[in-house]
Amino acid sequence: MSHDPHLGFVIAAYALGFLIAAGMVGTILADYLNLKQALASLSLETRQDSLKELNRRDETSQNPDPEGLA
Amino acid sequence: MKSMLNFASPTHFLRLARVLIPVSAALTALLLGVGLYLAFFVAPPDYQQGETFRILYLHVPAAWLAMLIYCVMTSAALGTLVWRHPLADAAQKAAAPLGAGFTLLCLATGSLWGKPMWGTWWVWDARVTSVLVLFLIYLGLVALWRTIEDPGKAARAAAIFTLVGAVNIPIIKFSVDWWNTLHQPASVFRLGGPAIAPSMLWPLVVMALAFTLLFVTLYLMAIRNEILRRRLRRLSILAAGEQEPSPTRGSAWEVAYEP
Repeated sequence: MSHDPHLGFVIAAYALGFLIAAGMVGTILADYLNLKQALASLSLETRQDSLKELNRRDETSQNPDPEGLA
Repeated sequence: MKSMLNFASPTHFLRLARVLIPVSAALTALLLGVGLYLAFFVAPPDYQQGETFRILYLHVPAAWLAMLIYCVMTSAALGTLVWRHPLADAAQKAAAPLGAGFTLLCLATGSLWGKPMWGTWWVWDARVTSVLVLFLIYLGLVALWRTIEDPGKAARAAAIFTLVGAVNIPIIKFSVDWWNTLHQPASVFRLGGPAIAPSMLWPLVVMALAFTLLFVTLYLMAIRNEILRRRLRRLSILAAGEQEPSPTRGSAWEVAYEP
């Protein structure tokens, strides 16, 4: 095989095949990780907002007149 | 139809994908390993082309997939326009970049084979030109998905574009019969059986299966990403407290991507 004058073309084709396949796999995996991270941070944000809202409601129910107007 | 919609709901798909992706990836790796071993160490050199013919173990499966992916996209486009299947949009969008990747591989390996065998990197031959048109259609579809912000509108536009572009598939397939081309006619799927010796044919079959499984694995992963992207979009809209109904709100698409 090593004596073939066109071996360079064969190597180049397989190297390119590897690069394109690795590129597709890498892009899809990176996209997946980014999406998972974004979804996780969004749900964390939503949970924190809900917690803040619950705390605010708790404080209001414990002290219905926080400014002492009554 | 209703049971099909229920079965292929995004939630069910994610559950199924979690099981199928590792299995498919392992099978792809195994078949690629076997295929490459057969292609390099078992298949004998061609009496005319020498070692250069080994490029065809990449070129032919990539060409098959370039056309197969377009057929998959055409089915998904029909799913979007006719049945309004909730997964069809995601399936359409996920296939286009993969189709572009495999078509690029087909064109590039064809060029690398053509230089030593035909004496030129490129010819404006009917088969080669129609595959280039297919590559441009894939790129056009990727651009279309990125240009239109509303996923519902983008899906419908891409579906129409896909269906119009489907006319190119029979042109690619029969170009070698309809016109006098430099590209050789079909040598595997033809009347009278394959024109390739079994020792060279089997590595090609294994490589074609490996490429198909590679596509299935990547396709499942890409559809999963699309579902997650739509959920993220939906959650972002809900989190922003947007009360105004969007044009697609309440449609099968919107309801299906509820987390």
